[in-house]
Amino acid sequence: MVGKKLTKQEELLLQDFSRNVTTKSSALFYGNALIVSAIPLWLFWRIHQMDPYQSALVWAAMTIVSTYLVAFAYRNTKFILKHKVAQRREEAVNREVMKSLGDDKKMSRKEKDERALWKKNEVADYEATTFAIFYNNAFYLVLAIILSFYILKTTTPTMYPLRLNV
Amino acid sequence: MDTTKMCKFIIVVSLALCTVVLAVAGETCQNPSVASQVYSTHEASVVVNTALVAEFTLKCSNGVKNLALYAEINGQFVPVTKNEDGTHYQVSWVGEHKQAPRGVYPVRVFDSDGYQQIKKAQRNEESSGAIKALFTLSIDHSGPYRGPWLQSEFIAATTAIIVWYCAYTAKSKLQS
Repeated sequence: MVGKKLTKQEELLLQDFSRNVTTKSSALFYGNALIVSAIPLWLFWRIHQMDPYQSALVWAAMTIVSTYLVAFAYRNTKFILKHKVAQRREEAVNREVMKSLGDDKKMSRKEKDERALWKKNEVADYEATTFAIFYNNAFYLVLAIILSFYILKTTTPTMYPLRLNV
Repeated sequence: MDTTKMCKFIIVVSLALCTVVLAVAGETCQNPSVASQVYSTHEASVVVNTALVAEFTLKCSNGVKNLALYAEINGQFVPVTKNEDGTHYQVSWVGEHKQAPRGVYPVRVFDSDGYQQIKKAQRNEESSGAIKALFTLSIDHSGPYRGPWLQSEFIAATTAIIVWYCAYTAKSKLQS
């Protein structure tokens, strides 16, 4: 078994059941997480009147921690949703792939199935990625607004960056 | 001799009466001409009380100045303050916002005689509405601004919750 090359199908299956994401997805996750984590800084600066020079260190540290945690949430949500999306989109993707490859006589049935599987995985990956970003962003901003304006209304602003990472 | 004394007495009394009449006539403003500026509180979100202020200048045809005036404003009788030369007057009232709702507030201004009549009416527990004022000003109070109907953070929170709820519903459907 050592050194045996994996088939395309096996590779896809391994990728399917792995929590690891591609470099592109990882960059997308961390980029979005950084933007979303930086949004409340405007709230702290302009609404809660925190001094940016004095608070720069705290803001930077908490933004980095928040970015990591949000990206972690993206990965987990994507992993959970990917299989469900794949199940829902399987029929439509198969139909589309078979329709596009139906006239190709050179391709065997097995190759067509592999192509459909790959396409299904790609569609499910993309849809799960975007939905994970959307859902976690919405959840993060709801928590930020409710904690800032209602629950922690009477605490000192210095606590605000810390509580975002609770 | 008695006749002479009688004549002198009559002259003195007449002179005294004339002096009194002139003195009284001198304190009463004839045909008052008023130029006024009014102010009322327009903000209630940070201001605790409502203020109604009227500033006016008074010119009397008989040239009387530096009068002691009293004003009835929003049901209260208050003295009217004046500047050094007695040409500019100011009357003000301060109270809670609910005591001064939106509306037109008449300010009846009385001189000393009028104020005495009012005090007499109050002692006799009579209405002072029939007592004629020297003149009447009007303060048009548009009501204070109490802030927006909905707070901005409430709108932001509501919008964020709606968006999150839509996302949660879609996620639940996917996972079902």
